[in-house]
Amino acid sequence: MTDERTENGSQPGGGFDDDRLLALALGLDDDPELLAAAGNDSGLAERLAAMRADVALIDAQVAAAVPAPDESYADLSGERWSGLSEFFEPPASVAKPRRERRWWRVVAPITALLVLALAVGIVTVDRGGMSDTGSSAEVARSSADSAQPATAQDFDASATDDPAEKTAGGRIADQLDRFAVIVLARARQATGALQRFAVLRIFKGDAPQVVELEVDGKPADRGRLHLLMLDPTATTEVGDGSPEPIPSLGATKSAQGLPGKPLTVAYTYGGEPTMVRELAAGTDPDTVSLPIP
Amino acid sequence: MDRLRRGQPEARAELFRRYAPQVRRILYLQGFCEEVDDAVQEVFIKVFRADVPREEVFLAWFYRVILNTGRDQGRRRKTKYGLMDKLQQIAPEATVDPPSEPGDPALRDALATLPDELRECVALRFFADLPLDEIAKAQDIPVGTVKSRLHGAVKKLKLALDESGYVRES
Repeated sequence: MTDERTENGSQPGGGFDDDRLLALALGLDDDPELLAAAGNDSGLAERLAAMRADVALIDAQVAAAVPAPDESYADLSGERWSGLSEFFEPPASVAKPRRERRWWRVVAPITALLVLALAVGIVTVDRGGMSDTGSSAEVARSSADSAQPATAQDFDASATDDPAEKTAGGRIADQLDRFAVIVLARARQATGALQRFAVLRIFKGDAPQVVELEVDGKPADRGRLHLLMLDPTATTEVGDGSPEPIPSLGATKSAQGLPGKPLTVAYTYGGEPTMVRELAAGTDPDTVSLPIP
Repeated sequence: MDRLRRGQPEARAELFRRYAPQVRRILYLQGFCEEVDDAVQEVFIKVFRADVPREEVFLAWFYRVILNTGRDQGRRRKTKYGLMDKLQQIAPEATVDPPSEPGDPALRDALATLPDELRECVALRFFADLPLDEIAKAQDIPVGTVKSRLHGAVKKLKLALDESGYVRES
């Protein structure tokens, strides 16, 4: 490396120290004075050339320490980037013939009204003997809740004065209380009956960087974000005092309102049942929040 | 750039193909080896979801997204890597694309022990080949600070190579 000294121990071009040469070699300073001096002093010119060679060497060494990926790395057809696929698809709203759009303008509101009426009817029937039926506002809210299960949401029940929302928030909090560990994780490739999830955020408890779950059925989509509720803390008591197991994934009515949709696959972690909820593709991990203090 | 700002899929794919390898190297040097592809994906999700700024400020904005994603990942995981872990992260042995010539171990050690902000500077300079003023905008610091960081970082790396007795091929 650069350390070219004369026989008496002094460096050639002694008026310029290595820091100044390094700044020039790195392109941090133009330093015409140094360049001019190097033009007249062969020793200084050699030092400068050696410093430039050192910088080039460091450049090469850094490149070797963190090599560029091969050409196939950015190949979007592979599974590696499946989480980005939605951004590369053509926009859904392709211009349609004018007549079709006009027809849709007429039919859409009628369809919406019919759906709303149907929903009101279902809620009314569902509540059966209850003294009051759901108001349209409640129904609308319910529809809206169920219509956006796969997006990032905020579940702070205390932020509302609405008793119904507080109750829903309480149910969610109860559900979350039943697990010691709750994490946001990205699904990896499944191997046989095992699937690994890379933990991105820990909402509750302590978790390793990678969680491995046993899966009984179709594994979660690789690259997709999932909310994992692990390590059930307790069981609830049923009428005869015997413990009731944590509800299975398909029967988590009380978990409605949590982000994502439940997977209809049985997952276990360390032999214990696990709740796994799939978030929408492209969800930003930072936007997911849960009502956990 | 206009096509990208309008969210055209081809423009997004073009941006991805052009920058994904570079983003990976920057994040990698920030200290994320095992899950670096997730971090790369996260960068592009943020970019595609954001209002892409005008061309004059795009690069600085884009690299700021990369750096912030790397920093967020570090905070998010609350990782407490020891020195050896950190070296292992930077050492390329476990990656999908091993280097043709392994880097000098002393330099890898020195890279791993550089302060984060210096390592980011090295990444932007050596991998992205950004000019000083763009590095300054990406890191939101004055150009003078970029110079001193780069100078300090390279000096430490050079010293590490000197002390390891690395002999330059002439």
